[in-house]
Amino acid sequence: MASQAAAIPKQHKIRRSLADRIVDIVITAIMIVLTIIVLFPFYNMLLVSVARYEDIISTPLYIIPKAIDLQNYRMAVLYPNFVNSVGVSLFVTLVGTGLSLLVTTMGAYVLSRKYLPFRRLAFYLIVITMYFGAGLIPWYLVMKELGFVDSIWVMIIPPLINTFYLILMRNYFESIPPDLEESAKIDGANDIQILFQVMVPLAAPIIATIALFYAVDRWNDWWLAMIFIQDKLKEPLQLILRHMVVDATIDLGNAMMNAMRDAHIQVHSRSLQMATVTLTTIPIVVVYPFLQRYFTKGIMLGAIKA
Amino acid sequence: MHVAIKGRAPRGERSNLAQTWRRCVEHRYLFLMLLPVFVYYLLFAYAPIFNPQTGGILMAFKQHNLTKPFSQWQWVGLKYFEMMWRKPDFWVAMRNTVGISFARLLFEFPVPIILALLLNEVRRERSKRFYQTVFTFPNFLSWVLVVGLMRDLLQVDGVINGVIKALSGGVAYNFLANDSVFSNYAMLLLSNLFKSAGWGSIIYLASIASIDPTLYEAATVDGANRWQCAWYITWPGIKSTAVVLLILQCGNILNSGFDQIFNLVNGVNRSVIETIDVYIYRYAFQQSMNQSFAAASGLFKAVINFALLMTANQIARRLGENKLF
Repeated sequence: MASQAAAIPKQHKIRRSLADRIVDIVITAIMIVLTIIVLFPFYNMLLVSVARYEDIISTPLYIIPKAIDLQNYRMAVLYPNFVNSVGVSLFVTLVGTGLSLLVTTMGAYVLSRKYLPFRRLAFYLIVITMYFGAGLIPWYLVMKELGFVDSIWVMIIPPLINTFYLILMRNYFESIPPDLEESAKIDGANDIQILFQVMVPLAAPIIATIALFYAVDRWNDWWLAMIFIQDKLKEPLQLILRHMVVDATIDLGNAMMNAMRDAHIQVHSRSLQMATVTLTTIPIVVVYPFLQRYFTKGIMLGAIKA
Repeated sequence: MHVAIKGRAPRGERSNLAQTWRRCVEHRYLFLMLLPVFVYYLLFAYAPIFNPQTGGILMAFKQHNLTKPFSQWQWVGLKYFEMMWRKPDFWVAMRNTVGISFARLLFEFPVPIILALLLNEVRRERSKRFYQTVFTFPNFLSWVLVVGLMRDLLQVDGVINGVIKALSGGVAYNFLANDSVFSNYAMLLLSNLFKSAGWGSIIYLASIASIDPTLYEAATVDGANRWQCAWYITWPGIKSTAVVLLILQCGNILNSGFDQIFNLVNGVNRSVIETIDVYIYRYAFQQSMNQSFAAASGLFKAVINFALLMTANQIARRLGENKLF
């Protein structure tokens, strides 16, 4: 009896591991195919960005690099206002993220305090804005009235608070046990001190997550600039990129034309576009490891506790 | 879990004005810290709705007049809504919005679920993390950038047409400028999946992670294979999340991806992919200078959208699964 009982699971194990291995192979195959599909556009981006003009012209299916030519990057940097737009984007991203984070953290903390008078009302007034907005034109006219037309601050102040992030952070603050706050109060700390000296260190994971989300949003924004910015010197990188790839206005400035003539080179517009796309991707690639460390937490923290 | 607003003050205290005032003074620093948030929502969310100077949403009911200030505009009632109602291109945009949203519900919505179930079956933790890293990355790129990638692949001289030409003997297909519903929808759905399917699967993977592991152990002891474990344990474990997300997605039927479509729309494919948001934008800034008309179509959309979102949210809450509010 005893030996029989021991034999059955063993048999089971062998049969399962065989089926298992087939399943494993199929899943790995699917994953590899999907990985190739997702990575291919980036491969193509790099490939075209380092391609020579004549190679693109003469090869019907240019998929294996014939040369690695960094000329295109030099030209992309010479594209009118490119360097300037990188400065604008960096300014908007750094200052915008800092301000957004400060205001969101303070607001989220206050809204998380259960003893706050009018807390329910304040929260509802904020949440309702996620469901109803005035619409584009009434909003635009107010922005105009506030002096945001052609101001670099239009990319920082109107998107200052993301309601969703605010709620995420509020939920996190709510989950911090109240004992710490009480003991700090007994020690004579006021609410501002409690937030910045006690709560912020405790909420570091959510603050880091939201900081990264804000930073990515600011870096990726083109819409606000497209609507409000007229001065070419105030355009962010994403808008320059949009002019290039969507409006397809490859308006090479003088610096670029001269450089091309002096070097006796021709630059394919595709290469120029892909070089710019690559350069715009770099900052995201740089912060992505941090993003990845936090995003799973970020989307879960406070929001979903399944 | 409801994180809803608990901690309402006891009845007796609420009626006591003096006491409320004392509590407000006591928490003056809290109000100070809330001030920027208050000003922000006042200026950027409420001022556009109610505004005597610029008109707010009321301008949809007044005759647009560039030469006079808003207060002197004539009331015209529902004139602009009637105008909108009679415009064929408005209904085209409406039909496209709903059509694209339904296509997304049907074909995009299940993909993150399937992806999560597949990722969950990857045995090696390191491989799993690698795949997730790859699949999630495009989510953090802007639509301008993703459209840049797409255009290069899809243009007449691009790689995809290179393959098509090699197979068909030299006939390229213009993916970016055609009015075929199938081709345009496929382009929209596939590019959106490229960008956000990996990100979308994270929420399901988190739900899977919270399933009690003893269930799997018990099932394995009873001789269940992997397929049975996935079907009878993993899928029921994430079903409620999927249902809630589906309902919330239904509430978003009128929001079918402005950034994506705005960067892809042109004169040729407008009749197929122009959605209501793009339409409103076009009338606000490009087509005519009639801001009242743009405001009217914006308000029409906002009201229906509000009703849809609220309904979806209520249903999700009824199911006891709306965990956000």
